Amino acid sequence: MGKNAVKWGVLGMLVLAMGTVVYAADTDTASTNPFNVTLNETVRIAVSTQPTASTVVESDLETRYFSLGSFAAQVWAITNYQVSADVDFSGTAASALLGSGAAAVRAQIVQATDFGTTGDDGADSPTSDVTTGSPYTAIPAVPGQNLWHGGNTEGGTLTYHEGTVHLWLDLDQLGDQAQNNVLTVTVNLLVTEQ
Amino acid sequence: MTTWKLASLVLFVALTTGLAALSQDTDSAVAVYGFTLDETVALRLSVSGTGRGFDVRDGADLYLDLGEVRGTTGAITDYDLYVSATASASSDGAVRAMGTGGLELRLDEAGFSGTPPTWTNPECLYFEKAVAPPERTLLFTGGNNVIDNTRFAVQTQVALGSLLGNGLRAGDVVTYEVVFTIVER
Repeated sequence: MGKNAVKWGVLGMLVLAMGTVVYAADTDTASTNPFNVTLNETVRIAVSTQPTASTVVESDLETRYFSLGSFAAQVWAITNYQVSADVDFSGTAASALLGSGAAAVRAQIVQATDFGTTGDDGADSPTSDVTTGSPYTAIPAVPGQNLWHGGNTEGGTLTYHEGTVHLWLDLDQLGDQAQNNVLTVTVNLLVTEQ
Repeated sequence: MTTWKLASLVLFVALTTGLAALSQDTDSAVAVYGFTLDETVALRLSVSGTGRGFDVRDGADLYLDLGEVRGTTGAITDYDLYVSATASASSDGAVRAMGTGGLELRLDEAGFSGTPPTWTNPECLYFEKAVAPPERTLLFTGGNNVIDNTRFAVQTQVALGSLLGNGLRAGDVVTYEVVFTIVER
């Protein structure tokens, strides 16, 4: 073996050694602790438009159903949801409605949604669960009647689903009343994660 | 050993089911409606046979047919319907009262439609003399009828013999006013 061969061998080993140094570049890593997010709440509902007080006058006695007017409620959700309702009665005219008379209130959704100001594409439009014409959908005392359901409202503070519900009262089920009797109808709304 | 496995499985399923139910979020809100029953009874009338003339040839009959009064009641209460009447005569611009002017009334039982009354006064099913206010005759009673309002008919006639002694002359105008009153009971 000649001297040159030895030189080339040494040079080759040196190159390999340098290559090894390159591949051995140091690294280090670190991780945070996990971000634990607990979804204590997934649905929220609030009444946005409350009904106004009204009176039954003579002309109202010529038709069976008395318009109670409308309320509107907004739902925020990060899940599929279902809105349901039941009713309570109080006041001097309420005695005739106790028991089976609770079905006196019937609902008709006249407007089901409002996408707010965030440009929702409408893919998750809520769906009405009540009829929009006769016969109306009765809202019982127990259990709650489904009003509408929907999907994720895509979060944020401005994007929500709004349902407007028109209520009618079946005067036939008021039975024997006295002038100036007062009836208060409380609609209990419940949104449930699906 | 198999029994323990089965018990554990049942317990596991029960716990899992219970936890799943607890994790279903809900929220609630309340809308409150209030209204006052300003009115519980309503009455609407239509009259036919008004403004007819009296010819001497009508004197061949004992009675002068004045036609029919039709009415509708609407109620969300039990009610009574009363009737009374007055008559007056105008002669040369002067008006004088004539009591009931010989008016007779009859409740036409076949004229009912809609929700039937709960009771009709049998004495009103035949022509009877009308009474003047403050007296009044009970025609019938009814109840809540908003499903289909009660419609009724009352026939009217004048006993011509009752007009004697009132000093009526040709050209005089006799006006009858029939007053129906519905009262919440």
